Amino acid sequence: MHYLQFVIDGLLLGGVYAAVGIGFALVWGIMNVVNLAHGALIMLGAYVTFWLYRLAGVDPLLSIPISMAVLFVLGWLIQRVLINQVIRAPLLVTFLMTFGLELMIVDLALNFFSADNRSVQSFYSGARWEFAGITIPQVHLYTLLIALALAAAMQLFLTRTTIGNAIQATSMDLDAARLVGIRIGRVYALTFALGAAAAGAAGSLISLNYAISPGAGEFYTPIAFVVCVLGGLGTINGALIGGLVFGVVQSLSQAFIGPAYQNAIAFGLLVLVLLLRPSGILGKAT
Amino acid sequence: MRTFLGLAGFTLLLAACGGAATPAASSPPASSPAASPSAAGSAAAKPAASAAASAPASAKPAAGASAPAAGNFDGTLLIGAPVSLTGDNNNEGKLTQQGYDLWAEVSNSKGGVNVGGKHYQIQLKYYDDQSKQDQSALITEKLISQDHVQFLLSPYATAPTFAASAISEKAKMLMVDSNGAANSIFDRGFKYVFGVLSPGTKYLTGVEDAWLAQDPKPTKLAMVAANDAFSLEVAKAAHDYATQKSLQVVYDQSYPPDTKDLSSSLNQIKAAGADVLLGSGHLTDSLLLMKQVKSLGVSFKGIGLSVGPSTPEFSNALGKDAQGIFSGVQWVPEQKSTGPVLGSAQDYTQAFQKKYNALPEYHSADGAAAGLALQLAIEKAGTLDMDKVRDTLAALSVDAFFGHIQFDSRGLNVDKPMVEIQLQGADNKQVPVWPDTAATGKILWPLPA
Amino acid sequence: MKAPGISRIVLGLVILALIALPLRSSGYIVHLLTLLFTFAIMAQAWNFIGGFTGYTDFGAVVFFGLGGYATGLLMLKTKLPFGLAWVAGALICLVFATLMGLLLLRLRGHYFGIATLGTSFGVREVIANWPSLTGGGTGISLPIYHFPNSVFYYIMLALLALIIAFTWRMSRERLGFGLRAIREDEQGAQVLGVNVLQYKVTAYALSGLFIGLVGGAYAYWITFIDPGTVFDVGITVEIIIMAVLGGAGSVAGPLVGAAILTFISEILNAYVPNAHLTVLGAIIVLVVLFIPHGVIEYLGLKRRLSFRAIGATLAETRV
Repeated sequence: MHYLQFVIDGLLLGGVYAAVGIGFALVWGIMNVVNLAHGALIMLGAYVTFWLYRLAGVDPLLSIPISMAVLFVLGWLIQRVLINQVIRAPLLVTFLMTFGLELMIVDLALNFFSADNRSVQSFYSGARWEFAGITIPQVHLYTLLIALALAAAMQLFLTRTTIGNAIQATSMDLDAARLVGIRIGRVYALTFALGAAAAGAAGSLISLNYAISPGAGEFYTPIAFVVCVLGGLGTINGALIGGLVFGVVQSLSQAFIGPAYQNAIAFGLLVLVLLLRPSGILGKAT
Repeated sequence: MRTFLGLAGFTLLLAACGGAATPAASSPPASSPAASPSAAGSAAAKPAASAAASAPASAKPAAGASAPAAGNFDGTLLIGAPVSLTGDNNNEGKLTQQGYDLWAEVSNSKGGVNVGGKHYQIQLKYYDDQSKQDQSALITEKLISQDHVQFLLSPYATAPTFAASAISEKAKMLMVDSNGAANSIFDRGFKYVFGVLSPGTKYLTGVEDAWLAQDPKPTKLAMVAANDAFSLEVAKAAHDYATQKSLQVVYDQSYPPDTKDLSSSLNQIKAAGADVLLGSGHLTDSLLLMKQVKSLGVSFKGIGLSVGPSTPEFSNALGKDAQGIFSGVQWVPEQKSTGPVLGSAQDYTQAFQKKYNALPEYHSADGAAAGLALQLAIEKAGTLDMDKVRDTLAALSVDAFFGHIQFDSRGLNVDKPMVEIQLQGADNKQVPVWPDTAATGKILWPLPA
Repeated sequence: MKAPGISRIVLGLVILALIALPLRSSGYIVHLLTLLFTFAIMAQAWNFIGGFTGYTDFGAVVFFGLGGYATGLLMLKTKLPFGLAWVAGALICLVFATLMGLLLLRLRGHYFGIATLGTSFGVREVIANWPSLTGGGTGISLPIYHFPNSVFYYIMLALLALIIAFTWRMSRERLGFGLRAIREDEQGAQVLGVNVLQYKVTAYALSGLFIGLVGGAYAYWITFIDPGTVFDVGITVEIIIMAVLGGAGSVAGPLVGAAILTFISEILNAYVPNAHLTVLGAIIVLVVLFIPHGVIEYLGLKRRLSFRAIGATLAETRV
């Protein structure tokens, strides 16, 4: 058997996990907000793609910018109207608020979209590349590539643009940032909106790989948690690495021990990493 | 301290009021607002829906008086059921509820339940169990002690049915199980639980029979199963049966129910040279499995799934990739069964299409069959006395639109065979292909590569 | 307090009412309150480590499941009667919590949270994949009890009274002050001579013990448990929400939060079954906006629900 195949399977799987983690890492790292509604936002992004596909025949990959835009606006509104009111309260307060939001979003989706499982297809849906005995499904590869592109774009934005730098500055020292004239409210709104946009992209990618339903996003919130911490809390690259590692571990466990144990091993690894290197794979040692 | 006491007192007051309010409102009971306005059970569809909508304005929940149906009834028969309107099982929960509602509507239109000459109108009371077993238990308790239902129908799925039936058994109230197929529900020695559906052990063995009768015969079987009570039971039965029939099992593994990836398993299955595949899980993982079978290019002579192919979403999601898939179903619209109240399978299908504008599949048929079995037992017993109805139900042997309904000593309908279907044609029509008594089409074999 | 004598009388009356309740109320109310107590105890237990100590535990449900499985398996495999199995199960949870605490409480803040979350998932997976010991994904069916349901009501009521009394005592003694000191400034507390690790592990072990007790009783009550249900991360989220809603770090905040959440959910389920989660979510969001520090603190501060008061609250927490 090709061990390489299993590693590649893992990386491809990890692409989804990384996409899920990126938005979460941004919001958690910069704003110290644990967004329990992250999964719900992912689900909405998936539905944007689905409805565009169903009603207008838009190819799922092409719909990603649209779902990102829609979620960006939604994220901005949510932050400005709701989350911003309690941003300086203890972490658990925003936790509580995003919990309430999650309940609302999922239930509304259930009422408007119905519980049916939906799926999107594309001309490349079943296609694959094969070489040297390795099989790579195209859809998975595109997912991974887009996740990588998303991470790179976010990272560039944060480090190379003025606004991005402002965001980073705010996370490092709120008062100092305010002193130099950074509009904190705007920064936070932008950050959350970007996080939501990333969630939207992740959702679109997920709709391409799996069937979706209003409850489909719930699974991904704990995954986002785990992936972010594994890779190094609060950093985009950390989420990327964390996602890929998690995927590879699951895939290798599936291959060598059996699909039943993939989660046990992956989570066991997570705890181990935390004990040995709490700041995560990429994080700086505290 | 004082504030705390105040709150404690307030909450107790609330509890007391909540307790007092509902019994008053439950006579005459209105059928509870269902998942969609169109699915209101009794003939009093519109008044019940608007009564529910105005409920917040009045102090009592669901207190609308039910408009009497066209015929004259001598009383009402209140039957309760937890249903999964939200949560993981909301799809199947809704389908089950549709079956219950359809049975009630058809039965009421024919005079309701005849108890020793008196005609009772069926009223159904539902609460959402959110697909959670502790909610199911709570709701069952509520239906029994608060709403004073006279009989119970089950929630959807094994775990909620487990929990709900424990409550109903303690209260010595009959519960007819429509959709909890695990044998283990019935291995507890309960007296008041009966299941109309074929047990889980039969879901895939028919598929294996169908395959082994084909030419070229399959030689190597691969199996994957979700790690939950029902799926594991189905898989174990299929595995044992394969071994019994000398079909070699080259791969048999279980996966976490929420898995997002089966590619390693499929790659191993490919390497092991399996020529047939059985999957025992639920809709989302069935879809995942099929998608990955295609994207990894693994080919089989035949593929069978315990759950999935019988739902329209399966076809919608997979398109032509769903063609040729086998599945075991509890019931098909084409089968040649007929019986009282709901008539034949075709009659049921027509009634369903008229009410819900969609083709029925087996989850709703299970629901209707459960209601029907209850009705027939009550009518045959000629009384509403719980133990007499229970004994009559235990001894019941009747043919219905659903097939034959009869229970073994545990309460399971063990002799009812599953019908095996295969999705055929461009529109993925569910064609019954096995056993011969139910088959309307020939098996397509093998699957095109 | 202005009139401690009256408070005590009222408290006594409330307790009497609760004890007498099963005799006068329907099975539904008894069942609902038993469920409420179950969650209230867990929220109170979470409060030890999450509220008082400030270490957000995201894996609390692991003790619920362990308690349930330990009790159930002991009853099934060694034929122990419930009482013994229950206590043994709780002790197993205590040991496990102590070991986990020693290992994980070295981590701070978010990391501790994730580590506990990961552990709860990991334990769930181990149990789900060890069929010979635990029945695997199929779950286990406990022996059916032959006494009235109200027995469980009293068990949970007694546990609830116990944990509240304990919390009240603790908050006035060294442990309580030590934990709060750790929450406010761990290094400072350490410098002042507080044995930080010992206190933290104690808090965590206590939470594990109580949650394990609840889990064991719950399993016997519900008669059937499987890994997905009793290790559900949603339960952890629910008890955290209850604790925070009522007031994390207060003596009875979690109970208040549990009561509010449970009753509102039930009422909504009865009136608006199609949209009860939407309304519940909206209520939670509104409550957070207006009473971000929890109900208990809000009542304690005696702030009125005027626009100006709300504005003042928001001004403290918005940016």
